[in-house]
Amino acid sequence: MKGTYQLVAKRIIYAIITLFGLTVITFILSHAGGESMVISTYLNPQSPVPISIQERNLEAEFHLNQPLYVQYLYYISGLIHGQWGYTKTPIFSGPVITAIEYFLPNTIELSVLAVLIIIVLGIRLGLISAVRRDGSVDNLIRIVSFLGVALPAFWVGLLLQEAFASNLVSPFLNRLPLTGNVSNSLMIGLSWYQNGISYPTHFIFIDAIIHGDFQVAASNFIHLILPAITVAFTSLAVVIRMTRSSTIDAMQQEYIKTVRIKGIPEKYVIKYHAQKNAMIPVVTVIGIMFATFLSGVVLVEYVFSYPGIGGWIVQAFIADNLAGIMGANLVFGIILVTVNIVVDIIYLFLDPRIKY
Amino acid sequence: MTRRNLNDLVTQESEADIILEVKNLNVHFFTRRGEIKAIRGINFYVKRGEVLGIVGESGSGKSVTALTLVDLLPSGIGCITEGDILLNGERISDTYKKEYRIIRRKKVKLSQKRTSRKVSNHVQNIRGHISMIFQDPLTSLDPLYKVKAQMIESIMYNNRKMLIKRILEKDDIKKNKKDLVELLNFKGIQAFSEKITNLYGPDGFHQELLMIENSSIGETEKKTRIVKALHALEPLDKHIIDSLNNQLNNLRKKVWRPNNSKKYRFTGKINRILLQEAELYSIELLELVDMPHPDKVMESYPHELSGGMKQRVMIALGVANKPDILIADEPTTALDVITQYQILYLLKTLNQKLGLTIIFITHDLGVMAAIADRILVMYAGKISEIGPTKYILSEPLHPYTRGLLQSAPSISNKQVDLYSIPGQVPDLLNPPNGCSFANRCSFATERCRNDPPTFNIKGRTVNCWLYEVKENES
Amino acid sequence: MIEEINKGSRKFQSPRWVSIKLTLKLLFRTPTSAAGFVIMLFYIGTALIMQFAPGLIGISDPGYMPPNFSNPFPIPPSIKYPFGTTYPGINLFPAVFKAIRIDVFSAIAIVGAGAIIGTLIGVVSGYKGKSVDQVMMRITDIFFSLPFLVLAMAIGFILGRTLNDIIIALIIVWWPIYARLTRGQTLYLKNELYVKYSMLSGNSTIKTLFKHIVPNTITPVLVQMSVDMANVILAIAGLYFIGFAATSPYLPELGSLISYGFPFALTAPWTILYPGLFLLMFALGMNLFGDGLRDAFNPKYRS
Repeated sequence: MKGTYQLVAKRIIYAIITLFGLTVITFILSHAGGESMVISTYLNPQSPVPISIQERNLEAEFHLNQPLYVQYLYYISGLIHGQWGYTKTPIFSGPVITAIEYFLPNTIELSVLAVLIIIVLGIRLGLISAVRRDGSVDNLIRIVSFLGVALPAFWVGLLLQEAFASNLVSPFLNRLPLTGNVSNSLMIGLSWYQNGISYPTHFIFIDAIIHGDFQVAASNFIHLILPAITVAFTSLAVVIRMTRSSTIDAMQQEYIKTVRIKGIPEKYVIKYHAQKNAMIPVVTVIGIMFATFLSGVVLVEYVFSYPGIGGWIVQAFIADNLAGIMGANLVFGIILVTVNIVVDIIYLFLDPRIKY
Repeated sequence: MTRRNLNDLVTQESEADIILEVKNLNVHFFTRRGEIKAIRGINFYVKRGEVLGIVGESGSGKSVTALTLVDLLPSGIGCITEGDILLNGERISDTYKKEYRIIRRKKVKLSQKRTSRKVSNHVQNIRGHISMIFQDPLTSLDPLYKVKAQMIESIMYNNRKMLIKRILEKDDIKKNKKDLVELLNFKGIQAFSEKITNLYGPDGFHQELLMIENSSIGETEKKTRIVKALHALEPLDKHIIDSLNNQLNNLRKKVWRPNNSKKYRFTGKINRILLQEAELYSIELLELVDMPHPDKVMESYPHELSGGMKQRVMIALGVANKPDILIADEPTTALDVITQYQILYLLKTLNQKLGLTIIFITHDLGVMAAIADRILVMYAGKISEIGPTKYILSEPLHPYTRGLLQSAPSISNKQVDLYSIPGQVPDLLNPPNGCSFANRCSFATERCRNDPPTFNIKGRTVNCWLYEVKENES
Repeated sequence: MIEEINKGSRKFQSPRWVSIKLTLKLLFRTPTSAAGFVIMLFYIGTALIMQFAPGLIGISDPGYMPPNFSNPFPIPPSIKYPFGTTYPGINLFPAVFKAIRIDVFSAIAIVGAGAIIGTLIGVVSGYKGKSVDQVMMRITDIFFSLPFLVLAMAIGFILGRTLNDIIIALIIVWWPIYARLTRGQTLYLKNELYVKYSMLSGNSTIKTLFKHIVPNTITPVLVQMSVDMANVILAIAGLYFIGFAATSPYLPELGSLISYGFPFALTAPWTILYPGLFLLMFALGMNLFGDGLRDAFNPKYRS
């Protein structure tokens, strides 16, 4: 644990460098389409200023006639000031920043639920699988984990929609909604929900509870269940496998023998020694699998028509909207980098063997 | 035929002296490749307070013997198929022959769940009486927990009775402090120490008192400090003492079961007091194993300690619950020579000071010579020879022992070629009938096709046909 | 005398061949990895047949799924249409096989190119060390900080929407994994003795790299490649499902097939069932195969 602060600072610096690298890539990609592409990104279709004048202003503002590295500087400054361009898609038109404000909280809600499922269920199942190794439970869990990796996320989503829509499953489950994130009828006329953005926290679930409107909160939650399960399914397999192999490794270590010889019952040997040591590689894996997780989020949001960043980037893609794609790229990148940093820091604190 | 001789040997010693007896032990491992007969019928005993050394090459079965004694065989794979282990006359082993079924294609399946649950109940009974230290100190301690946590874990789990007794005794001190202060002022420190030892045993000393007494300051200064320390002691609340007494009574009712099941997690005021006491006890244990700066060591993680220190911690853990026997499975093989000497010296001191019986397993004859009282030589899962150290090393009877001693290079005789016993260790999947050493023995004859019986010569036992004639003679 | 020599000496087998035989033998040890191997062969075989001899199963036009607008709505499976039809009157049975060919070959191209590029970069980066390594690591970090679908979309947006563009986009997305993998291996191998001996005996750096280091990084790369085949095919299907291929509307592809069936999922489940099943089987098979390969390469089992 010595020198953790130096290590943490180092990691944060790396993360910032990576973020800058990310902006470089988006910059290069947006310029690869040519100058007109770049200008079209920032055109505001709703502004009263006529387009040709806008073009001229933008040219001056972003110094488009200057060499690339100068443009890059203005690009970054634009980003920092919230000028991410304008998007025009079937579900949303307006500044990219507002789009993000509109969509991101929903994606976060979905992701949080899915991550909870993954962590709780994944670690538990992996542990059981490892302790009852080669038993029937273990084989069952392994089959499920293989399926999880092989099943296409969107296909699972479709199947789930079908299963819950038809009367194949019991009539009660029939009522699980298939699209969207909240029953729109409930949201009409709410004081704290305007233009698709809920106040004060932008998270419908939290705001509903704050305002005491539990019906809305429940509706939101119900809408989240199916997409969250779908997204969790793929990444679950990875976590289960990693937990299983890491727990098996930990249980074969010498110190487990030492602990056993102290007479501690097996349950506690596993809980306090094997599992704790096994968690360390698992934490690293969670950071790595988050990239796949986010890709899954994109597909699942599309299938379930869920108003999140994933759904929006697909729409932007279909509508050939560069600003939307680049904006979503940046958002995803920031999320991923943040998650990786958090995972790294947790890892630093978990393992006392890390030295500066 | 063989057992008659061994029993004769046993009755010659007084029964009270034997602490561990192993009779006709057979341990088999059931693996994918087949049934490995790791130990094929061994008989020996261990006297109280002695150091028994087990020597053998890799694969001779010495580690398996140790694991069997503490019931740490990999569950589902290894089990005792025949034989008994007796600790102080009580049988502590279970043969698991009934637990496995043999399926075709040479695959053997053990009903895992039943075996493992049985093991853990059984093992609880053995734990306090036999403890073990392992070979590689680098990996023997859990890297995530401080040394303090690992030591307290062992003590709190197994020996609450002792902790409670210590606390109550110290509380007595606190209650009687007025008398003790008077005693101190009038009769001096000597009488004071004697009184405390008489009343509460050597554990009755509060650590502070101990430190003051052991420090090198003047008598009057010591007196004032002790008086100050005594005055500063606060007796515990009555209800705490009541609950402690309750716990003690509950513990007394059970035979030797540790206070397990529900509460492994330590919470609550009582437990906090117990934890403090356990910490103090751990520090005393570390002092016992000659650890410098025990308080700093307690607060460190295992990876911050050197190999020798880690092995000391292991020894402290092994001794913590005052076991009857300590098994040391090659504890010095992974250490450098100087540390090796220190650890050996420590073990020998513990053996002499505390009367701790030690079973020491190694393949290094030099270490044997230094520490063992009696030596047991194993080969291919069977015993070759048992006897007092100096006789085994000076007059080895069994040809294998002779081969071993010859192979050890010595500094005095300048050999050009190192001697090694020709041949290979037999495969334990299909061990040969008859004496397992026959294919490498220069004295092998026809009768070596049969298993040699144990012969008893001059207080030593040998498993070799060579000594048949002499047995009849003596 | 010569006969004795011939009888006495065993046939010479190069060590590579022996180890390959051993790998195959270990692959078939467990039923799961054998199944994976068989599935993989089935798919590659189908793709090859479709590529070179499509007439064998009566298919004339492997690169195109003809729509039938006179009967556009999905028809349930029957003898005439073994898998049924999907939205614009496409007969699912031949479509699926055509799609397998395109999918499998694209996946092979992507994984192969990605592996080669990634391995080269990774080995060089790991071997050179210092600044080259640091720079490479930062670059791969950047690639890892984007979920692959998003990055593929961005690149695809720039390059275009044809199949070749998708392949290039996915290659760009996929090589960093191999770079990371081989770099780690190289760092470890760099300190092995035989590498140092090779340098000492005067081999140039390139020769050492190819002769010693690369062959030892192959085994984890092969395992990763098999698993990546599954992931890549899922990614391709995902991209097509979203509607990547606006420019080539009736390119047979499992993801596109699913997207055609999407609006009809509730009423005509077979439209999404069959393409999805074939997708799933391939991914499952490659995963099992990759797992089996990993176990087969595990030194513990090779003794």
